[in-house]
Amino acid sequence: MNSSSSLPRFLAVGLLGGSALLGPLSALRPLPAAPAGPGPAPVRPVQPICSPAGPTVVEMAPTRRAGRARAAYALRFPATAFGVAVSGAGHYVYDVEVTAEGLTGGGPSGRVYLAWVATPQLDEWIKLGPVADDQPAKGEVAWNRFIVFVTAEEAADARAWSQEFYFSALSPSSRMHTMVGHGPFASEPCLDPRN
Amino acid sequence: MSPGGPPLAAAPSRGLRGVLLAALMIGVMSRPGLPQSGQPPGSFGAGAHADHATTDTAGLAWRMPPMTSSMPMLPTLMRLRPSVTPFLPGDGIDVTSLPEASPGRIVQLSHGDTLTLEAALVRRTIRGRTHIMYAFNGQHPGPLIRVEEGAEIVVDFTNRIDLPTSVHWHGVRVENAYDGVPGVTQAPVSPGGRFTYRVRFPDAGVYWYHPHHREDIQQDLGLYGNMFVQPARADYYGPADREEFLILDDLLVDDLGLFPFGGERATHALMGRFGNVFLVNGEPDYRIAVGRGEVVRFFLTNVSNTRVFNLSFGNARMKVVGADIGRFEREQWVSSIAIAPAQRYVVDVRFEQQGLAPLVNRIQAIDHYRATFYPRVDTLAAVLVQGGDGVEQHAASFEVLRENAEVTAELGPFRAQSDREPDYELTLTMRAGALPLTLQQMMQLDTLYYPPVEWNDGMPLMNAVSSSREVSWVLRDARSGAENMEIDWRFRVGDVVKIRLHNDVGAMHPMHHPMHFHGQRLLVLAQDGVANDNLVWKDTVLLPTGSTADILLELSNPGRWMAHCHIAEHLEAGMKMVFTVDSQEGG
Repeated sequence: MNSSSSLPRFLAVGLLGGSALLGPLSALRPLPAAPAGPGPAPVRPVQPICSPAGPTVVEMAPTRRAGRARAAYALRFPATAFGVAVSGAGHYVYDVEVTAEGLTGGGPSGRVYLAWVATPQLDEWIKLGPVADDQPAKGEVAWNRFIVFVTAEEAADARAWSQEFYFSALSPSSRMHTMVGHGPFASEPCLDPRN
Repeated sequence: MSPGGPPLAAAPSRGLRGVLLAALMIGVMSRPGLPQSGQPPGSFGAGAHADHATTDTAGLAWRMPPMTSSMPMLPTLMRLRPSVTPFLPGDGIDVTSLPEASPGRIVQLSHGDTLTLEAALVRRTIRGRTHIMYAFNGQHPGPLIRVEEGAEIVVDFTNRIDLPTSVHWHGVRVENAYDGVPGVTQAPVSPGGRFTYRVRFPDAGVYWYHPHHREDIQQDLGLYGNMFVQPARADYYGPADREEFLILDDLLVDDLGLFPFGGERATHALMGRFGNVFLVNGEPDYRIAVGRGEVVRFFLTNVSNTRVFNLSFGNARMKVVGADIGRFEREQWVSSIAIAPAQRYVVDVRFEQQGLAPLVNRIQAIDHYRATFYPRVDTLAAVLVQGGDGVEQHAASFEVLRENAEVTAELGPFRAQSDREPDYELTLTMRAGALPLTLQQMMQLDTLYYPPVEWNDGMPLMNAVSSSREVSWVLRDARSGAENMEIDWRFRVGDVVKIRLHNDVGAMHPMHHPMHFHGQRLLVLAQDGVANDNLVWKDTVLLPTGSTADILLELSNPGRWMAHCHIAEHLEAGMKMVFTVDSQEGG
């Protein structure tokens, strides 16, 4: 995890605004068709049901640089003893996975696409790593609110991002809105400096 | 369809909603606790009640629930009251005539022994204020029943409280007739009535007993106690210097005393009744003393109506050893324990630093008005770590995370069924009808994000005024469409069913649900598609909002059994079903 205060605040606001209208997409993953294993007898087979049992998937908003490429991130709790993964301080702990389609293996001029997750203030961030069509980027995040984004960098070992943003999206928690701030007066900012 | 309020009228468009809300809010924001024009004198907040009544029940009337934030409120909201009659026990009884409850005591019972158990009114003094509450055998919590694995005892129960009741032996695979569920396994025990339970204990571990009739009142007011089934094997758990049983609860009080309950129906139907006074083993300032370096095995039980705790002991290292019905396949280090209502966890903690190690509930609470998270830390109890040379006896073994090979071997055949398709799916959802328009509007506004777990009551007034008259919580069988008590699942002993539990995030006000299955054991195979690689037998599974869990339910115990959400108010608002297990072996 890194920390910096050098990045302009407007960048965070712009990123947040750029993806604020996107909603979660359900991951329609078919259930694996596997025979019942040995051991206790299952009940009589029944017709397939079921609701998807996958992560929360959020489509990421592209910038103009992204062209026709697409990206999304998936959130799920890591395996936990408790049904909800939570840190000692009470933050939800999520595995985040960024996937992309239409991105070539390398960025413009041989650069590489990197996925990041950061606080809304961009004062802390985690590098998830390179992302390409066949290469998801994964990591763990435990912040109340965060932003996921993809940039093009000169090298995969970049420690911070450049200004070349390709995709961004908010955490689901960033959609929590107040009745005042998002009514007709829009008087309350989205960004809470405490989070 | 389940009984409940009529469906809501079609929601206004988002734009129209905004205009409606703006009209509601213009210039009329108020703060709770301040008397408002037009309100009945003495009916709002602490400021209107300078003269305390001598008991909680004197002049019983609805009032504003305690508000923990500086949340501005709409006058239209502040005038709302539950649509049910306020209730507190002991109306008309001189509180001084009641015995003061004593701390819970340990009762060691052998196979064939009989325990006399009585539920009765007691006097409790908590933080200098006297309340009329309930207790088993005059103890708060009720006696800790210790038995050997495989034992069977007789419990001669008498009801001396002012409501019908029963005793449910939570998590214990008892004979069906003694499961203590009125309307399913027995008639409720009327005031003054008796019931004889035979309780057998086939599985080692920590369990608890509580009423299964108006749990929202009776359990909340003290009718609960632990049971510990001593494992037959001496090395079942790793070594520890001592064992401590901690029962976690919370109680909702204000300056007038206990906040009333709904008489005819439960209030707080939306989110359950959060308390604002934390109790550990019935005490608001529970303390224990341990020696530096000691390994303490905590048996934790959450008996609160709705609160999920996130617990830690200062900086002491913790490893989780067991859960509801037995041990994990592998012990694991944890930074905190997230424990939902009705769940139990067995946790080994080593206290290496001298001084005070507070047991804290540390959460990221939500302020719905401001749409913000804020950290909240509540101290529930204190562990005083005494000095000296330090205890090293179990230091080395504490560092080792035990692999319970026999658990893995036992669960292997069940794990092998992880990949097959579910046999059933239950959708967990809700309906709300006949709620005041203002309340509906506020609920519908913040529909873009629901936290996986509601750690705190972020909307105390809206929650308090919602009763099970207006809110229905629903278990829906995805295959048949049947809901709640209409569901009629039938199995045979020996069946193992895979059930997908899906917590509908699209409901008007979704919430997490701790789902409890009576009389059987279950495994959580996967959650949101993530396989569980460390299984443990459970009876209550926490399903966060929007989550999907695949559970494997082992049908080992014949009879008609209930499954339900263990948020007491959700149960009262209909979130329950029955399944039947025939004694003929399945194939």
